[in-house]
Amino acid sequence: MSHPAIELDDTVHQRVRLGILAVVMEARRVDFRFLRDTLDLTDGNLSRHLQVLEQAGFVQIAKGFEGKRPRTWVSATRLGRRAFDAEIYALKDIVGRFERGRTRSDTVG
Amino acid sequence: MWFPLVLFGALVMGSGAVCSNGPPSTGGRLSIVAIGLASTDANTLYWLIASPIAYLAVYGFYQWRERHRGVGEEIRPYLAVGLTLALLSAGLFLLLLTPISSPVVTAVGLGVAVIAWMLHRPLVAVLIGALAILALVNAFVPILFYGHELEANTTPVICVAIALLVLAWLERSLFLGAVALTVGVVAGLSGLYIVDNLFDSLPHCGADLAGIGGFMVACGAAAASVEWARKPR
Repeated sequence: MSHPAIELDDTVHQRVRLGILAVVMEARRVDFRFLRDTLDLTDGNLSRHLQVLEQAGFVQIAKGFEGKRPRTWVSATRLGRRAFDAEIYALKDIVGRFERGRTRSDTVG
Repeated sequence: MWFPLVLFGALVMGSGAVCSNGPPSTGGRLSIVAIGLASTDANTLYWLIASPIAYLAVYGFYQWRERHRGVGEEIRPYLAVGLTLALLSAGLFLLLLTPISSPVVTAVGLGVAVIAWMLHRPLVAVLIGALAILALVNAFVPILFYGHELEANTTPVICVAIALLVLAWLERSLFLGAVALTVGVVAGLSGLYIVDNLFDSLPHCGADLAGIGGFMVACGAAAASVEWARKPR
């Protein structure tokens, strides 16, 4: 029987990218600055990770202007939502497996 | 969540001013068409006009907040369910002049419940389904037992409550869900409350709606103050 850790996707599992997807999944779309401030990142760092997620087809990035102010909106794609859900299920499986193992060892011990 | 609560609370309070109380006059004859004609009252028109304006205002508010905060919340399912229920409920009542709106509201509500079930939200599905069935009971039990509608004014409030349950689900808000459920159940039971009607005395219909609306406004104000307190300075 394979371990649930095999199901973890490297693109999604990286800490910053997991954070980006977690924030974006809770909303219809999120502003670049909001993401940067919420996840405590620099502009360059966030841009790099967004690029990776965009290339994987997990997020969609829309750039535009509101008045004279440039605005970048990030939203999760259907593929991104599925990948995030799969990641969460895999993590839950791992935690569940660990908890069951610990209970067994506690009982035996 | 506070804006729709306050806005629709105010509308429910306002509907108390135009609600009809007691059985409609059917000229001694009891037919569904006569009941429908008699019930095509100011309350139905009120909700037919007020609902689209209110949902448009909610959409505008969320758009403004999206630009202001930098986070866009998904409220389209809420607007779709709310508008569909409101327009079908009031529009069909006016067009067909029969109390057909409640079965339609129930059918749409059950449809939404099935969708929620398919999206693995069994609790939301059960609550919406229960309110949808209450809308039907609310409209038809008085007709079955007393031969006329006792009060036809709470179905629009049940529609508002069902839509707010959808918003609670979207915003993952237990508080809003509890408020919506309370409003829906109280509105449904208040439409079945027959003691005053049997004695045909107290104009309690306006008082009921003012109470429900006041409760919604108070809960909305509480939610707004909590949101304000949590806001980073």
